[in-house]
Amino acid sequence: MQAGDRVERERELRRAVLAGEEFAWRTLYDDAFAGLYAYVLWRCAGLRDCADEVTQETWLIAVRRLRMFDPSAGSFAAWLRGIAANVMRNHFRREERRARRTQTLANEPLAVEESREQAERIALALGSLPAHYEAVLRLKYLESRSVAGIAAERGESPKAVESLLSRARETFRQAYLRLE
Amino acid sequence: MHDIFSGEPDSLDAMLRPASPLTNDVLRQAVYDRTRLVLHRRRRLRQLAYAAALLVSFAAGLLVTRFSMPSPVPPVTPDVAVAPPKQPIPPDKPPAPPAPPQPRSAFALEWQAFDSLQERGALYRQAGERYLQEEHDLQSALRCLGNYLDNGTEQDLAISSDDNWLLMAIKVARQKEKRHAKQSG
Repeated sequence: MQAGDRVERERELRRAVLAGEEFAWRTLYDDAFAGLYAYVLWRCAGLRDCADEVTQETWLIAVRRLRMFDPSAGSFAAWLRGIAANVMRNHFRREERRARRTQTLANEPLAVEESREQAERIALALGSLPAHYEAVLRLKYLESRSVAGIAAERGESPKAVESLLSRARETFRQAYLRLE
Repeated sequence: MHDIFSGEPDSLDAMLRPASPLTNDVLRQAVYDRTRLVLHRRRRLRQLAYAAALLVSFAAGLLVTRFSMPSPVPPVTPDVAVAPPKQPIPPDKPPAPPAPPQPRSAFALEWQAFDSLQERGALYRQAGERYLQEEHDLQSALRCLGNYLDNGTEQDLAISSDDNWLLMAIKVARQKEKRHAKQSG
């Protein structure tokens, strides 16, 4: 879909939702749900309970703040990802506090606990990345784009994208190691 | 083009690879239902606000109408001009005589007496009587009545029942004057 068509379509859907048309909301929701859930699940490093919670909170915020969505500033999916990123930040902050309080009471099997801790570290490391690093890693790993495809989308050379991916991975690695 | 990230996956790739996003239809429907509730609530609130605005407008209209109406006035029976029944005019009745001329003022009569030769005395008397009766101007009345007697005859000095008190007094004084003049010779 052309960018202009996308803007026009999303603007019309937004207007209809704000006018109270449920069908328009259903359309926006169905179009974006799978992509958002996949993104949240990736950012939660596969922790489904975390992903479910974040996804639900993200959608509730989105429906309440839909008036703030400006299709000309970015796609609905990107707007949702922005909300989800903030929700995840808060979510992991809460989880961290809760983990500290209940550290001594944990009675899960060791393997499960270790696996979860690693997932949480991955999620926290992803959450700590600058936006452009997070974006390029998302395109590469979540959306399985090739370097050439990313370069075309970003309007950069493949070399520049390769370099950006290397730096993003390295930053992620360091963030993860700091959390160990 | 060689993609350096498309080679053998390392541990970092394993960390960053997404978990298979199993379709979670239960979650999908549950979240949708919750968001739809928010939309319904918002629509209901908008309808309530609209209804409230209508009510407020209606109440405001009622108030404006009430206060803009004039206070009730007791019914007034209209003044009906009742024309007197027309008297049939006999066809052979002659037209009404012209209205008598308006009476002239004492001042005008005095000037008329001054200008007149035949009726000077009578006009001076009329002027003097008017000054006395209507304008209570004793000085002017005395002057006019004196002029009347000056322009009259010997008989006019005789006191008459038509004379007013001033004219009588002047006549008495004039008669005394004449007697004294005769006596003194």
